Amino acid sequence: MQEEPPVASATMSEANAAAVVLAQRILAGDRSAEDELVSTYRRGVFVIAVARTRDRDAALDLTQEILIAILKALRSGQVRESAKLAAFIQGTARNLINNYLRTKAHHAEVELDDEAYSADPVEELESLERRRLVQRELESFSITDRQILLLSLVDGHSLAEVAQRLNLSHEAVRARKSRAVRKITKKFARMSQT
Amino acid sequence: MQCQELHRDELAEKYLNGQLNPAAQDEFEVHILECVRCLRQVEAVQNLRQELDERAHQIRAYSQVEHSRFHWKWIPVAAFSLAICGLGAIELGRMKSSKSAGTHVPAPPSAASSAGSSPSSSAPLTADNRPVNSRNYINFTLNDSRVTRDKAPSTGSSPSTGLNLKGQKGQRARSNLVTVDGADATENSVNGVRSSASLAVAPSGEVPPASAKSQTPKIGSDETAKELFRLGTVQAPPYTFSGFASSSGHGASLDPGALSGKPGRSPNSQAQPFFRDAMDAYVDKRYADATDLLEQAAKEEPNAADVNFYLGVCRLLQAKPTDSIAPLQAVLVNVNANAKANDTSPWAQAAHFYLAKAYIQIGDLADAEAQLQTAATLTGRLSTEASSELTRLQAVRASEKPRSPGSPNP
Repeated sequence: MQEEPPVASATMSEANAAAVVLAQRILAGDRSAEDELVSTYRRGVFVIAVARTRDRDAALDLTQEILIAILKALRSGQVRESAKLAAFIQGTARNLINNYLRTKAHHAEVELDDEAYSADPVEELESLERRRLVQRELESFSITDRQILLLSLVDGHSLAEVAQRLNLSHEAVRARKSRAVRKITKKFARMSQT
Repeated sequence: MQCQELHRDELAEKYLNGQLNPAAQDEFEVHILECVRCLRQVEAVQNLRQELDERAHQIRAYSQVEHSRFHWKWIPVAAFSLAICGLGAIELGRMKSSKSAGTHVPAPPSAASSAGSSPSSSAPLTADNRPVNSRNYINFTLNDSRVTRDKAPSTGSSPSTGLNLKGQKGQRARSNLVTVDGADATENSVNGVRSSASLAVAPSGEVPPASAKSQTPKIGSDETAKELFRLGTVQAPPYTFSGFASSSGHGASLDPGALSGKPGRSPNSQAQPFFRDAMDAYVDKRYADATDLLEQAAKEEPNAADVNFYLGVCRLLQAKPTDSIAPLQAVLVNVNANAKANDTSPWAQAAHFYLAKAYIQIGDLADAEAQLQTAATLTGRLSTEASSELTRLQAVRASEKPRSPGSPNP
């Protein structure tokens, strides 16, 4: 299982300091630092790619492409402000995703000789497990909770609109939705810690 | 960006819905790359969205079933509550009157004068000697009935699990329930209430067919008329905004309630504002306003399936079945023109189904049957309902044929 990323419990300044150290280690050729960077940021990059492309398959490929580009930049010392590593990763991800969306054809621009960054079976298993977990939790929700989640998360209605449609109070809708999301988030956290 | 801000403003959902401006989106993404807790929440919402999107049809269909069940489930409860309230008021009145007049219950003038079987003497009537059918609703006592309920006029089949107050299993609820001093079953029994409510109270969003109001078909029996009334009843199909399919292809739903994301529809179309406003009115059940706006949208986009479909439905809901046929047929013409091989439009089934409703309302049962047959063969959420209604319509037509062999369709 992956380690908890260092930024989880650290303050942002500590995280920035850790990012500087990480960038320096990668620049110095430390391969374990590269693994650490990948395990720390892969899920976040994937979430961003899914959110922007709405295509999980494309997002998987793009995640690899983005991480490779970041590692290449860090290896060659192109990152000027390594304290702002997250901002650099986000910018890289945004640009590559936008390129993909413009062309709808993406090819890896560089190929690393290391195969450590190919599709990770552990990550795939975790993704599958997360999906099963959501399915189980969704089954346990009441139909009203499912309706609330569908109307707000998929259809994009505001809480007030959902409350009006379901003839519930705004507060009840907010509480039900918040409880449902919190429940799944907690299960995700537990799954990451095991 | 702070974590509290993310939770308070529901930024995760806005981000996933593409509702953040570019700067806020960048800031949010940097934050989730740095903050594992917020990243988990976004992941949770993202996974939830995916699962919900895949089950959207199921959840919506289930909601509709629950919604339609709601009315019937609560009607007996409402009737029971009314009965309890009524009995309470009556008991209160009886207590007041017994304080002033001892144990004698004053005979109501109307009861004494109108009932032929009532005693002609001027002696005050008591609860024991008063005839069953001459008592009024104000002053009576709760006794077991001396009249067998089975002699009462039939009010149709009665549920064995109804308001059986004395809990006798196996007996009809009507035979031993709410024995309101022996009054006639049709006057105050709960079954009487249920029976009349089932015909008079239409669920929200439904309108009785025009044929039942002004164009009553010449049919042989009341039961057939009632069945046709029920078959012609229109329930407004749901309309739910399901995201913008043009940007992602993700939010498009084939449900008739997810039209704004129809692929190929230009977001800059001049018809779009009319359609959007029309659907706002439709959701608010302002069908007349919706019709006006949809007519304007139809002028801009005469071939748009969603516009024509909801225009037809709105006219049906306003008891204008004849006017609804043209737009519903236009849906089918458009669908057929654009149909690809092995690609059935989600509009086809709904259009056939509501066309059938229109034909039933104008009394054209042959065409209605044909439309229902087509709707039942197509895949979609209305398949089961179309099959069921087709069977019922065929039964109605079969029952009518031997009775009036040479007569035209009712």
